[in-house]
Amino acid sequence: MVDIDRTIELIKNSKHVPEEDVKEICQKVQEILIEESNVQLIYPPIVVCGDIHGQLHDLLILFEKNGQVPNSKYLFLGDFVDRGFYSVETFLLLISLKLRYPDRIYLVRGNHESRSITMVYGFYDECLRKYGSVNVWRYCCEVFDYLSLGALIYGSNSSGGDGTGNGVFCIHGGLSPYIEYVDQIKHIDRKKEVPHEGAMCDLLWSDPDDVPAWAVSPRGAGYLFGENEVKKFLYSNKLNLIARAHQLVMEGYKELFNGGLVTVWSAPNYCYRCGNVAAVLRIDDYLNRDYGLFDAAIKDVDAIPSKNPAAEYFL
Amino acid sequence: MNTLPNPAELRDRNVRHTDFDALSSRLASIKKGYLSDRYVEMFVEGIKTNLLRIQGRSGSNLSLKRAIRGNFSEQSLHSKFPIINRGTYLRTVAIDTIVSKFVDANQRNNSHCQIISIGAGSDTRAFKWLKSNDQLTYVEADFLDSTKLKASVIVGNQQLSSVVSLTPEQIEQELSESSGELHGKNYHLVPLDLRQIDDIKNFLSSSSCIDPQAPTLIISECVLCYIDSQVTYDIMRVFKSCLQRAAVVLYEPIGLNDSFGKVMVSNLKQRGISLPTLQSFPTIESQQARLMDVVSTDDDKKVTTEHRVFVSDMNFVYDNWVSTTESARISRLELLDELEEWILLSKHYCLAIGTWWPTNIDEPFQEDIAALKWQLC
Ligand SMILES: C[S@@+](CC[C@H](N)C(=O)[O-])C[C@H]1O[C@@H](n2cnc3c(N)ncnc32)[C@H](O)[C@@H]1O
Repeated sequence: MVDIDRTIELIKNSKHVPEEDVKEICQKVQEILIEESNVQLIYPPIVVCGDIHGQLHDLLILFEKNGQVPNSKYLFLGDFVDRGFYSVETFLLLISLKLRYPDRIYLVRGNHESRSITMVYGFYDECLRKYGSVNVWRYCCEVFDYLSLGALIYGSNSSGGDGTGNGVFCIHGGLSPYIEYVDQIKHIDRKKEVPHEGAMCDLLWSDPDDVPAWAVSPRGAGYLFGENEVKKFLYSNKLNLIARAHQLVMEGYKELFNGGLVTVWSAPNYCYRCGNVAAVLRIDDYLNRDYGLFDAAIKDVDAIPSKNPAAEYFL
Repeated sequence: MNTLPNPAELRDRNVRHTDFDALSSRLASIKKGYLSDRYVEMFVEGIKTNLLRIQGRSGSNLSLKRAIRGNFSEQSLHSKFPIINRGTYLRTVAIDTIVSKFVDANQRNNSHCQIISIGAGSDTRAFKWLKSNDQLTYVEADFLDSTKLKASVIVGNQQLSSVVSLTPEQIEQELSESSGELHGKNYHLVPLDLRQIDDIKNFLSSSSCIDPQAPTLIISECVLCYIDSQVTYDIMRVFKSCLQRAAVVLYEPIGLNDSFGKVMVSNLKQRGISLPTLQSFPTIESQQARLMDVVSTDDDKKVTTEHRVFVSDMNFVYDNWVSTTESARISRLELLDELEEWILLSKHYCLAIGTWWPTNIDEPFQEDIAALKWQLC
């Protein structure tokens, strides 16, 4: 039986976690995740985080700056894995914390929590390199299928009498033309690989943009949605904010559409190459927003173990 | 016996090894279907076979073996990210577009023309274009160590040596004693350290490979960026003063004075590589001014020349030069999720052309280039 506190310490100290333990943690965390609904109801105060992408050391900084679990409550908006050099450790740390403190940390699925994407963007290769087989990748992919799709954060003055909303809708990508009401998301059968189209795909893939209505996404999946769609969605669901991740923002976060939507990005110096700062969104009991910015833990690429592939350029 | 290279030699070696990055990126994007070029695989095989024999010295074998493993193993080819494959594709087709305008314009005129690729490394473009053009002369220059390697690959491969029409005697000669120099019918491979301006000048003015009157395209694909900025002026000016009618095309990174540029500088510094021009010419405007400076220099020749300069960043090139059918094909090859990163990365590279030609003749190539879309022209 795995000692979860010890595993958490191991990961924080960049030590190897045995495959058997990974297997057990993955199985156990599934039992917790399966009970969660597609859209989880969460109460503030909470720290909302965007993409992490295997940047374990930066995640540790994030916890240091915003309080350790369980002292602070967290919501992670997906894309835990791929691109960075420590996807395995990052994902293990997050699900270990989930297992240990299920009410203090919430995880929703990003478009990278998928078999096909992780085969292209590094997580698969990393598992193979670190464990010599694809077993660990398989265990993790099974967990991906159980992750919930979004979250709703409700303020404590639930009346919202002035007609403005009182809640934050949190999702990895964005809106879908198939989803008018948050309730509709509850009917999706989420326990599967992320499909190439349809509501579940859109929620994980779409981006806000300066478009009049729905438009084709240049990513090849999901849609672009404009201010009108956001306004409609907020109004119909009595919400005041959509918080999402999915897009690199050089300044760490970016509010759009009169503050109706925010993109939060939590991987500083993304891919050890982009030079961006990172941010988290802190939401208090009254749904006030406060952004916490932070910089990369590893300033010096020297500190990255040399067996890892270097950030690539065109030479 | 002291076998440790001194710091300057080490720097040069790091710069020469960037060629393996370029080659392996090209192979990766061929394997994924972005590009097709059967010569690339021949070069990769040839380098694996010959590298240690040609460049091996006691003390450096380990780093050569590492360079091969690091660049050409299945694992490292497979793990190139889609944005790297896309960017490799883009730089190749962008320069090919220029080459094809150049070759076509001269074919229409039925005039002989020449391409000089400086720092050609293991580039295979010469083979692609020589195969289908007998009016074209292709000259490649690089460090002696690099041309020795390239020569060994060419003479060791029958298809490659027949494209450049080497005689059996020439092949035998280079095999028995590698000189790093090859002279085929329309193909010349010459060792040159580009920082030795007098050597370039000698070569351009006295070598029988070069016709100073013929229309010439000089290609620097990620080459001048490794050389001291002031010296790059001298290099381009010596071409200007020796060749009557020419265009120089540059592909290189630009720093944009932002944090991405800064991180690029420090990441490459870790590999012992410095990119002086990235900071000296950080924007497309400064690249334009740089080339303008070169092409408008008066030199001692009697002919008056006209000149033009064209510059775009690679993001603009992708959006404006790649047809919709082609970009649809590209997007289907691999899912490119990293859109913001692609924009960021591709904006930090540019394509720049400076041309000069005598006032008393028409320069159809120049007009064809002007007909392409440019950010600055
Ligand atoms: C990144 S590689 C590019 C190779 C080729 N142009 C391509 O794009 O595939 C840079 C090349 O420039 C060459 N180079 C750099 N500085 C040079 C110099 N001072 N003299 C000759 N060659 C040089 C290197 O040896 C290397 O082959």
